[in-house]
Amino acid sequence: MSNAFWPTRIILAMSLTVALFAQPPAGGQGRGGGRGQSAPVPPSPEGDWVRTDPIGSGSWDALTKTFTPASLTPEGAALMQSGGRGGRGGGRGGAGGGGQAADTTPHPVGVAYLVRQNSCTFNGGGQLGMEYDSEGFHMVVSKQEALVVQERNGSRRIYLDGRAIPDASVRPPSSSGYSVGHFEADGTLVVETGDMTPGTVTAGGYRTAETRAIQRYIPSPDGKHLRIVFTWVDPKIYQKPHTYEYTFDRMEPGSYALETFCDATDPLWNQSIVPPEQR
Amino acid sequence: MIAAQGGRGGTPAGPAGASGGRGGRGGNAMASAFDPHDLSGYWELGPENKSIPAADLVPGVTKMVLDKVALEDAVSLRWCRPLGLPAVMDNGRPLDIQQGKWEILIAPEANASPRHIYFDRPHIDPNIFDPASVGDSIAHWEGDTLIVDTVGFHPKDGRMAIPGGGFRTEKSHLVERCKLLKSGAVLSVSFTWTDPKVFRTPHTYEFRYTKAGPGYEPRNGIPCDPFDPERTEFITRAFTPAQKAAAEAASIEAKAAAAAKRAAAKSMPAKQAVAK
Repeated sequence: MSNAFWPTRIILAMSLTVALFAQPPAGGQGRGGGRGQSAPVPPSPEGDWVRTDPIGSGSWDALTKTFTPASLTPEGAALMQSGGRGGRGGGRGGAGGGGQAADTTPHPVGVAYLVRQNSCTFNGGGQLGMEYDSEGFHMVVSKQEALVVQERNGSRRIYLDGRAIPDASVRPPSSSGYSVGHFEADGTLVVETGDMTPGTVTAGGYRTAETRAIQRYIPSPDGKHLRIVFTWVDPKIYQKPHTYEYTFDRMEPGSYALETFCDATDPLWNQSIVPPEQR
Repeated sequence: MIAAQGGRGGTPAGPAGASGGRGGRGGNAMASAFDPHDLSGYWELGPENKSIPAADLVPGVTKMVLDKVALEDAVSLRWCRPLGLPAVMDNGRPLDIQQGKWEILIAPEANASPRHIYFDRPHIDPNIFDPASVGDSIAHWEGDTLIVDTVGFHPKDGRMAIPGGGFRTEKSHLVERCKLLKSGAVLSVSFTWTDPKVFRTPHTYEFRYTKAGPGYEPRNGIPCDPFDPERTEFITRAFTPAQKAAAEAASIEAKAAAAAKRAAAKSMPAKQAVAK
């Protein structure tokens, strides 16, 4: 996403989450509600998670710059050169957005600068990206699949019934690809994904429909923390598997998923600063 | 509002953490084991599987009030706003309903927010909850029926019209009674809306969803581009003049122009403003 608005919106959403957590227990609700503070949590990636920022930068780019850069093959480097402008393939899907508006003339007091046009176009995919941004992510594990959503529309499913990833020619690639998974004894969910749309990958990587991403969702023994270790594998693109990881905290009991309601008529989705009264 | 059912989880006999033994997909309900307490599956709603009586509305819900709601819904349609409840439950595409340990998640193949239906907890304090187009939903089992209780609706986000008549407000209360029929091949959802400002008596209608076959996989939704002039012409063709005007006035450009006009008027010397 090329606009500056998303981070603001996300920070706002997270602030609301923090505000929620900051509320004292009220009649068994809020922090103390739901599963209950003392209820044991199994070591599983199922549940509600929020990404942590171990370096405290507050910035996605600053965080990902700490990752070991990908070692690309000459073919991978050429793909990056030719297709690297196509956006971060590992990133978010969801509602589409347009380009920058040429909104450069001075605005009077109280009239916002529009920084984005054509926001809130539903692209039909509505799929999440491969990586979870600073919105919370929510995973439900049923007998047949792990279903993942964030706060906006769009979802990702990881089939758990033992099927294989179908041949890339069977269906058009998508932002979060086609994922299959299985659980290991310690609660780790191992997810293999293929059939992704071409694009760049975090920390200097690239992917095509043939690339495989292995994600290991590794819960802590107490179930309160989660690591997602990414390994991108594609001998055409990488000299060696490209690996990095994110960390997450389980949301407090009684918390809930916020809704990001994208409204094309809402100026807040499109505006930047509003010139204040000059004194 | 319902009290949480202590100790009754999402799946009484369901998965427990990182368990093994995750069996087949269960897509062919007739052939696989049938668990009346597991609503997971892909559920389709056919046009012949709805029973919708006319709502009994309070006298205050006049034609003018209904026209205003219809106008707002027309603006939402024009601008591709996400559906919200109740429209998301009849969006023309299957619903992916997956039941986990702590919640049921409904992921629509449409321009709509997912629904989270939480087990074992009361509603979030309304002073804390951020109203949503799909509200705040909690659930518990009564025998083989899942009772889903929803409050906390956003006053404007989402389509407001309710099947059978009437509309949703921020004070509306929805109770859904969900039960598997025909050995799990059919999911009955009975919707009951109460809202003293809208309904004289609780308004109930029922949808019966059919489980999609075992080969079904969710697909991408149908795109909606609010900035496509061809679509705009098409979709507003049937609008009333008032709906067309409201849809045009809702654009951010129109709002920016109105704001600029107001700002200009404010900065105008009082004498000129009066003369104007």
